[in-house]
Amino acid sequence: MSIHNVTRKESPLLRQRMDGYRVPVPAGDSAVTSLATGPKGLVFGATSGLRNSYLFAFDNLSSKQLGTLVKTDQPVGIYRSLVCDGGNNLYFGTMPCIDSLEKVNTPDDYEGGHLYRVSVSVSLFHNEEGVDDTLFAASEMVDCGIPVPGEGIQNLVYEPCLNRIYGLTHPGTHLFSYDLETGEYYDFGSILKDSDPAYFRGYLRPRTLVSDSCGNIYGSGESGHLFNIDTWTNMFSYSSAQIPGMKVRQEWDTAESLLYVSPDLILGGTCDGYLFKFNPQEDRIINLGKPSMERRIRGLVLADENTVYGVCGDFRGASHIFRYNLLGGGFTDLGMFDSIPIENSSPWTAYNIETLIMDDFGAIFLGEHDIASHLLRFLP
Amino acid sequence: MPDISRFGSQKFVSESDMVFVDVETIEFPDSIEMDVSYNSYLFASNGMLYLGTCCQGGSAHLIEYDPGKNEIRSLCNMDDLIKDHSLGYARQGKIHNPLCEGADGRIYGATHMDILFPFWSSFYDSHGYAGGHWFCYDPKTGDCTDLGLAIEREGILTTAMDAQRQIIYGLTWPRGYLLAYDIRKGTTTNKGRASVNLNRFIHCDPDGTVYIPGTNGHIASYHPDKDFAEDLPVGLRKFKNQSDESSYGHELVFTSPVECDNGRSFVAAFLRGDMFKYDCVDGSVKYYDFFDSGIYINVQMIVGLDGKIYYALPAEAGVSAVNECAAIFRFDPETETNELVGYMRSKDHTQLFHLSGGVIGNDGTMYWFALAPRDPDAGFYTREHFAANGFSQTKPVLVKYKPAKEAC
Repeated sequence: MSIHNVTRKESPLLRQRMDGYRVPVPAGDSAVTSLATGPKGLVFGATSGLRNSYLFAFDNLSSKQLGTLVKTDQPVGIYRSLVCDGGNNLYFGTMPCIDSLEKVNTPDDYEGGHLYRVSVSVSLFHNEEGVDDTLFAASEMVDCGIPVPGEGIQNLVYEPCLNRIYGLTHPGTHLFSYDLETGEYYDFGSILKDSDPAYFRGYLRPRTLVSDSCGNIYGSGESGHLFNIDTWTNMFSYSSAQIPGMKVRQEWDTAESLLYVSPDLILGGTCDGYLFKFNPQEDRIINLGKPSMERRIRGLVLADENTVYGVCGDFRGASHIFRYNLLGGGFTDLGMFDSIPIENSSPWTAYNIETLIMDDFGAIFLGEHDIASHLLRFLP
Repeated sequence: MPDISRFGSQKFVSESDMVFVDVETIEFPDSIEMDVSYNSYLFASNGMLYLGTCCQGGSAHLIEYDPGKNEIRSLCNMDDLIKDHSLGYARQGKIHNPLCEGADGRIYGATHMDILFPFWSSFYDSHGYAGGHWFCYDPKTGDCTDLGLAIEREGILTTAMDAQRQIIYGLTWPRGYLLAYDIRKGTTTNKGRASVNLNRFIHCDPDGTVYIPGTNGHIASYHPDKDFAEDLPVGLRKFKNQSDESSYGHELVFTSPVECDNGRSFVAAFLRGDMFKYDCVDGSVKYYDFFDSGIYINVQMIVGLDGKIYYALPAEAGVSAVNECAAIFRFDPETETNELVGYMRSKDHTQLFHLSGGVIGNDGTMYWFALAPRDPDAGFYTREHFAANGFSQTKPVLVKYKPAKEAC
């Protein structure tokens, strides 16, 4: 038999295709709640700490080193609110402190979450022998103001066409934009009616946006309907289709994650763990089912034109990573994050994955949310 | 002194070569559903022995043994107390942790899940284990009180008490969180996460510093002045992996440590049987290597009235030793000598195995839990027996052993 006829089989052990890196900040401050990709194989992350929050960077191309960039000097939540403008500037938005078990502690006199800018500089230190070191440096945090007074920032997405950042606030779910050139904010108002039950129920609040990089921003809002905003005209519209969910909860459900694939395909994962596809051109949603008994599909990435990876699970369960084949191959559960090798440390089991992202080289990065947290790297 | 280097998980000692110690055994009443008990043993100031039971498919019980009357009785059924099983959740199947006596004279403890293989089944199931509860028993009134949920979905595997601050620290399974239960306030706070592989190891020194397994083989510590537990600089040594000699792993610390040098240090044992002493003041670690191949030792050590540390090769049912008979060892921290006390058998010469628990009474009598074969003539209770019969062919017994005076 020729070696070329041997079918390459996928390893049954997730840990054989993964490694991890301890976020080098004190316990309690290390929950990785935001990730973003940057140029040259850089991955940026933000933690939500009980005393301080941190930005960090990981060099996936050269040294595989992880270093911290800035410290907030106050306990803030940075929840899926970290974006890179494609160059050296990172923007992140803050919300009230998220404690280790998911609660958002909004004080009565909360002035509102700030948007900050940090410029990052990365250079390599050449060792005569061995692997080069990566030197991370960052500017001071520049305060870009409060988008919506009294409201925290819970999600940011960068729209490159207009060089704007769009975001959602917490708890009022205002949609806002920030123009990177003029520094001006625009508040579209709340995407929910005050009477909407989702307004009052923690994780059911809309919490994710996605950009098609051509001027359209999508999110989920009123009664489980997806909305679209055309950033060229600021026209706001709701889809008539409703995201999937259990019958009595469907009115409240929200998309936990959205992935833009093509003009006629957006994939989404709901807070109850359903995967769905949305065709914006036909205004149609198809329920693809639940990849796991775990709830909350925390994130989705497109590994190649036909393969999607996602993570589901929340604090009451154990996160699973799954694969979905867009050509009809269905779901494959790849398991939980059990005994993952950690650089310079002992193997670690990660139970709660908060966010994931894929870099330009096809490596998937997952942010753990725990008292002592890790950045995990999965090579599909 | 017998040569103890011959002990090891792959070594067989013929019966003719065994040195036996005869101990008193008291059978647990059949009315108490139980398989085993682990390191829950507490000898309280009222002269009673308290312990918790473990049962797969059943409820844990809080047990009282009266040495004066030589009576064992159940004080409380945890499923009946906590009541979440009646709502469809998995059973409160274990009291696994060392019980603690509060300044108020109450006996405090916590519950753990009834682990049925595979390990994760209870954890995954949304109707699985709701979570371990703190509880207390008041010997004056005879009342047992549910003190509430410690943490969702996690069981309390082991505990240690800060007597001065009246805080009970518990390590959870499977995630390995360090919980602090303040007896006076009745509140539970989460103080960090330990390495999940080592989490039967917890110790609280007189200063209130708590030691737990950290990451990468490090010992982690927590003090009430801190927010969370953090790794100490010291790392425990690695050993060559027996199944893959090219790789090394950190040795597993499986025991609850015991205090030494008036609280300055503690001694714990690796899963492989060798011991180490950690100096809480200068942070140094000293290793004691006694066995040339690994043994599997009891999770609870006892400091005798002679100042020596007693521990057991438990002969776990179906798990470890070739010799299916428990053996007691004695380690002297002063002279650093380790000796075999003997293999353990009852006065009718029934050999005992699955030794666990362990506590010392005021008069120097040591108490352990053991299993005895229901049919003593059936020979050693082998792995094959256990695979075929589980606990059905064994009976749980409380073991009383008082070291000879010359040993003291």
